[in-house]
Amino acid sequence: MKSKFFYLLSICNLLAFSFYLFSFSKKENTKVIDFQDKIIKVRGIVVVDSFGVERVIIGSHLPEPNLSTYGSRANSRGKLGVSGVMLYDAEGQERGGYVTDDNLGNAFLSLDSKTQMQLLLLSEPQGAAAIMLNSHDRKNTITLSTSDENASVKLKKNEKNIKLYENEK
Amino acid sequence: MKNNKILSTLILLFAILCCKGQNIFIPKLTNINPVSYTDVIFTGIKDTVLISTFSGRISKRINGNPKEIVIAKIDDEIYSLAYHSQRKDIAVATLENGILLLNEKNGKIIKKLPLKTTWSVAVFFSDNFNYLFTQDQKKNQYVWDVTKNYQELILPSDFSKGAIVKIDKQNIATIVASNKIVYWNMNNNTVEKEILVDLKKFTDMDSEGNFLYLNYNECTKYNSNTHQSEFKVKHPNWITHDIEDPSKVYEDDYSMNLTTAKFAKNKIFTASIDRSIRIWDKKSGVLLQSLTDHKATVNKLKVSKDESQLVSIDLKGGIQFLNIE
Repeated sequence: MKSKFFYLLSICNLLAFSFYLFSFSKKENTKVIDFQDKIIKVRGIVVVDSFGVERVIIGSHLPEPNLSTYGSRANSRGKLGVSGVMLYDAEGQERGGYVTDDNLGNAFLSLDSKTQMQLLLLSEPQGAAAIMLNSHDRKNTITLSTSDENASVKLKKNEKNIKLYENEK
Repeated sequence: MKNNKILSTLILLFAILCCKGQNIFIPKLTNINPVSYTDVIFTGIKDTVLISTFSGRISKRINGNPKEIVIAKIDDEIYSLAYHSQRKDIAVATLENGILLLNEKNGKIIKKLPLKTTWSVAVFFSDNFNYLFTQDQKKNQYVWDVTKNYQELILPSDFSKGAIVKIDKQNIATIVASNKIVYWNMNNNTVEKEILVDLKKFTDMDSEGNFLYLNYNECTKYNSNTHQSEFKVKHPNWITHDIEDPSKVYEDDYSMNLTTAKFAKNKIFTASIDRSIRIWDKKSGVLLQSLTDHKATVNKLKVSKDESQLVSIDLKGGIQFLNIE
């Protein structure tokens, strides 16, 4: 009696399991969800590559950079959060972003090497802007900036400021 | 009995598949590279190591075996490991849980050692295994007495600031600050010796007290006898292999950022984001060999206690063992 009951239960289980699998595959294969008239409201979206490495994060706030080179998370942003889009290379290292920060209200776009920020485009809330290009050790830099008071081009070559034409009429 | 087994198997299978429903939501944004190894540590004399990952996995890797033997999976990021070979304890530096102590045999957490602020990126046992020590990102120093079930030691107020990188068998702690190295006697709480030197990134010290430090793409050997930098080395090129034909090798004249450097026997080993390891003569600084087996940034090197083997890990989960001649 007991063995029959177990057999019956096993068959019921098998049937239920088969139905479950079938319904699951049907959803995956045939059902196309139309999001065309939908608006998605989320805190973050993560794009991963085939290895599961996070390559793009759109989020608020973005996570601290993982200094993968040294096997640790940096503590650079502290409580000053940034939100926007961040790009990561195949090793998971932060390589640039298009973000706004909560503290000063700057908007900026940056492109990073594996060690430093090499290019920065910055727009400040009061109406000033700057473009900065840096070598890895910042011995060679080019800075273009504008504000209500001034417009300037600064060039630093081998740690020496190069005098450019200024106050042209 | 047989029926019971069939039934149990089916129920188990059903339960597993039910639980396996796809959940596309994650609790927080983390920026994790789950394949990357974050640290490696020898557990035996050689050939056997423990590795950790950002995704919280601790596994055993054995030389010649391509598979990982998973010991534990914790719900936190792991940055550093230390191994107590007598107690079989693994100390794990994590992002959110401070230092965790795990049993190597069953992978279970046996103790949590909280940090005051932030997290630690390097945790060590002293050479005599009496102390466990680390520092957090806000530079708070921590020393725990292993013999007293990891009771935290209250460090004296004049204890030198900096990162404790070693406590030797005589209980002399080596403390590295940005401009000096201090040897602190923990038996009587006094400074044994102080070396003033501008350090960018300390990476290793040999038995004679010489040490290596990094500055971007340069590795400097500091001689403790002459109190001078003996020589500097940098990777002379970036060696890459053709994607379609790996036998084709290209060399570009880029000297890229170094990640770590180690002494072993009469050699110095340096690793870089250029995915290579270079072997240098310890006395002259002459380049002896370039190893290009890694497929990603080589982020950690560890030398076995008898200096007979080097193990290296990379950011794509690669691991290489190298016997040192």
